[in-house]
Amino acid sequence: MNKAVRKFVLSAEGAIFVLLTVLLSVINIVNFAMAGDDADHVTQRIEEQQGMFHSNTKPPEPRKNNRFRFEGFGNMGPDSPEMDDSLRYFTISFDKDNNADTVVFKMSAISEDEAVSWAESLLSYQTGWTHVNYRYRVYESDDKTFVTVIDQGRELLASYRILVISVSGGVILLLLSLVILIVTGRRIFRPIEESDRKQKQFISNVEQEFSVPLTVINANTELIERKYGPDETTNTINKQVRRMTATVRDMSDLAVFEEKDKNISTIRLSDMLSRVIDNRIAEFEKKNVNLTCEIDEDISLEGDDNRMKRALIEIADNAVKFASKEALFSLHKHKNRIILIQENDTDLKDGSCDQVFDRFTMLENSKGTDGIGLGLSYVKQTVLAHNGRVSARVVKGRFILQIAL
Amino acid sequence: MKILIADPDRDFLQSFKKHLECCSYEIDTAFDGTQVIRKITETSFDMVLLGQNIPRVPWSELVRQLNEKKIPSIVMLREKVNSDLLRARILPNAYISFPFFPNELYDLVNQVAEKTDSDEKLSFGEVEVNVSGFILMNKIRVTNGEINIMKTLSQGKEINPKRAGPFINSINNKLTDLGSKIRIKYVMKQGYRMVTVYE
Repeated sequence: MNKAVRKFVLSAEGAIFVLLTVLLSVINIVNFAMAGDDADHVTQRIEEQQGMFHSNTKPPEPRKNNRFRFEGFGNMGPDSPEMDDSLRYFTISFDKDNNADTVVFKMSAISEDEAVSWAESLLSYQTGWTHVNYRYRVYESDDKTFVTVIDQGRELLASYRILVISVSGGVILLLLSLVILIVTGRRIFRPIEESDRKQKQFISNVEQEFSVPLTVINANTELIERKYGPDETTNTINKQVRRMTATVRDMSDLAVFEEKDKNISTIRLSDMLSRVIDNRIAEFEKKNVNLTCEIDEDISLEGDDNRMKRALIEIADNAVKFASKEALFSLHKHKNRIILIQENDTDLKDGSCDQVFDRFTMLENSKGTDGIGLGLSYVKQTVLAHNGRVSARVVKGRFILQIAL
Repeated sequence: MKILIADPDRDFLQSFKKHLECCSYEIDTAFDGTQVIRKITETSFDMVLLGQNIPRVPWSELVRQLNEKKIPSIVMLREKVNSDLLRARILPNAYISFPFFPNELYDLVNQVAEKTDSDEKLSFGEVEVNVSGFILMNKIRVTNGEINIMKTLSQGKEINPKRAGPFINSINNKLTDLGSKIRIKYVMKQGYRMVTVYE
């Protein structure tokens, strides 16, 4: 799997994971909260009936806030008239001297003595869960304190099932989506890779097909000049051949840029950038460009210093080419990342211009300048090879190139 | 000086034959590899310029035979010089990439000829370059471009990484292969230098 497909699959899978986690968490949290709500409704009714759950002659009034009451299904859950027989619970009362008296005991899982012991331990609380599946309520009536504990095991079992099903369903969904994303990712990126491969092939073909004829034209023009002396025609040919030669050389540079070979060492970035700029001060001065450098000292990173210097040269050359009034180079550290910013004035419209990093892409202000739009493409490749990020935008007449390493 | 130029492009051969003859070189031409082998067997040449896509016999085989006969060679590439070419087991004395200008080829021919005739030795600590033999530490062959980089560094001059990148990498790789601790590194406020690394 290539880098682009891997990046696509990982980001999409990450997004699906986050969405599924949020969705399933909300479903299960709400489900358990509602189970507690239902249990509280029952203990509330027991409290109203002095610690006992009486069989009513008529069905109980449904709760007004029961969100899951469906017309035609009658009263479900705690509102069901069948609750009277199926409810497992006990109520223990305590007088002022803390003498326990069993009001009701309808339990099989524990003994009456255990029930009293549970009730005693719950006296200082109001309501909540105890021993995993049991809901309790503590209330006062006729100078006595009542503790009612109901068994909610069956009700909670449904919630636990939903939890297990949703977690396993989520995992299966994630695995399925991973397979689908890998398959679709490969399909989506195949044309892009193909186009990239063809572009490189085209570059290679142009380089091979043009390079020998250019060499021969140039050599023959020189032979003509030697024989008949230089004139306007041979000067024009020479000029155009030199221009085309430079273009073909730039194109063939691209192949070398993409070599996977790397020599890793410590790059003294502050020093390297300062020297690159120093070597171009005369060019900035010649164009009357106001140059500002804000370079923090001793910033370094591990990487290929050769490629990095080449990238810095491309950035500086770009600034020399396009700055007409002012240019800025800034290098500093922010939250453990190295930030390199190059700004210059421009007449381009505001907005992102990340397309400058595409091969052979030249913006409107590049007309009439040398080059074929490969310099910043190389910068991007170098930055990506050093696990960094690069962006370009125009804000209020300023071109801003930002690199985070 | 007698030079053999071999390339399948006849226009190129014709044009550069005239150019080099004007510089008082004696020039012979060949269109394919078998012609090259025949001519270097029959005649003694001071240098051979080989086109990368010479037919019938691969250029690397021709370079191998030329190295055996101790005839300096320059390979004219249809691609840019890259680290694979510089790390190849069989190396010519120099590479030049199309498109080039006639004076660039003359300069290269002269540089290779001068180096072949010189008794110069470059040394950086334990690292020694036999310039005339194009040999690094008596073991690995190096090209004219690599020697030029080392020579520039020995003179304390700055090198341009825009063009020197593959050469710097290949020198460092060769020094690593030889077990040397000397490398070309970027040094603070000095630029590229030959330095000893402690890893």
